[in-house]
Amino acid sequence: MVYLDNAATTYKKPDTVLRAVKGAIKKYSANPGRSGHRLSIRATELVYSARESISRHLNYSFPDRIVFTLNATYALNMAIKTLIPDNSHVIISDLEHNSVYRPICSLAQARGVSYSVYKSSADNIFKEIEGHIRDNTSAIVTTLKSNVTGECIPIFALSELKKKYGIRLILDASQAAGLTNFSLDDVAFDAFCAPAHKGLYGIMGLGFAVFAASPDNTLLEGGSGNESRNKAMPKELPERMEAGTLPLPAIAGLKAGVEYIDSIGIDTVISIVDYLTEEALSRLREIKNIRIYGAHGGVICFNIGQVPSEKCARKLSDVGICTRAGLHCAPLAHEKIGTLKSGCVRISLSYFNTERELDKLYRALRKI
Amino acid sequence: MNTTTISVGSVTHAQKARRLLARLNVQTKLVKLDASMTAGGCTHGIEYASADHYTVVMELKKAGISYYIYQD
Repeated sequence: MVYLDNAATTYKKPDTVLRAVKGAIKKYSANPGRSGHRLSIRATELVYSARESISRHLNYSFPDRIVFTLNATYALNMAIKTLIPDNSHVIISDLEHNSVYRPICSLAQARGVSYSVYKSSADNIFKEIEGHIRDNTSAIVTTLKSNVTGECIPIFALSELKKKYGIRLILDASQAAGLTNFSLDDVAFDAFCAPAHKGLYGIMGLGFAVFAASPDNTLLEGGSGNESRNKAMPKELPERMEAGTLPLPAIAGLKAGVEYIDSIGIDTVISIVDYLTEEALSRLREIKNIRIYGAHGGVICFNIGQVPSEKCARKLSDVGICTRAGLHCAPLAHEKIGTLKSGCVRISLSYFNTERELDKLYRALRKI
Repeated sequence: MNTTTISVGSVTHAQKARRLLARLNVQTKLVKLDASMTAGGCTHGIEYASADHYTVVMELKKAGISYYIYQD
């Protein structure tokens, strides 16, 4: 099997991740931050150690501002719904995944929020976004990397806008995490959201939001393991935003995933994925009637002639090649590249893909 | 050995405090505190040798971590 759907989730995980998940279930299967017995304390220490590993990976000095969530969608909903005031204006990109677009549309319908869409391929992103700022603009909510085209938005331009205008900045790093050398200590932001199970090589069922400060509002209330007499959630991060039992095995897996990346070096991971992207592109360009809409950072989207994208993906699946076709939960991105009606086929590479696998892809596409 | 236990508000802050103190070779233990003795009920604290108390409070003050003495 050739797995080229890493933007959906990474299939091949480092052995250390698998061992960490299994070890958490076998040795640490107690509720962290709840009881006082030895096993619970060990589980608690594992969770904090994971926060530290993630913050080291992101070059961020505040592990206690990392809030664990169910996934990146949950993290984004949490950030968007607690940080954006009613009746304010928000700026989003023309690449947004529905994990940003749908909560914004929901706020537009229910809470009087308006939004405008900036062009991600503008020559000067700073000026492009600046042109959308109004008196009541409260936030920029944007992806850092498209899950359809791989196109990236420069984080420092966004940070500079936040500093200049004092508006909130909520970042969707779902595709960028694990494939970008972040230094969050140098970035002005309000929330940075990512999943465990894509570029960070953790397992499904976990994401996280890094909050620059403890939000005034909470999205979810419940047990936090402390201050049980208080009717409200604790005031401080991370417990304020973490109601309920944390997914300890997934957290152990994410800790192992980021440590794996850091042991190789993020720049090495990036350069290998970039190399594989170029190799894939050079093969795809040989395919007759192929239309390539975007190709960057491991993500390439295309169609072949008039072949429906799902049919193409099915033919690839028949020969053991996993890709994703359709709209990728990102209608804005497809509208931008002109494939809102047809969709397209997306291949998405990871550090673990090989040139031989790309050769197989090439041979299979030639027959379509 | 005489020990002192302080509450620092949450288990995460307790862990943060432990890391800071470990850098100064102050040995600490993470403990669950009795709900009857804390304002909000249910929290974790850190226990350390009473002889290290001055070092602990200075370091926590420097780090902006608020605490209260649970047991001395």
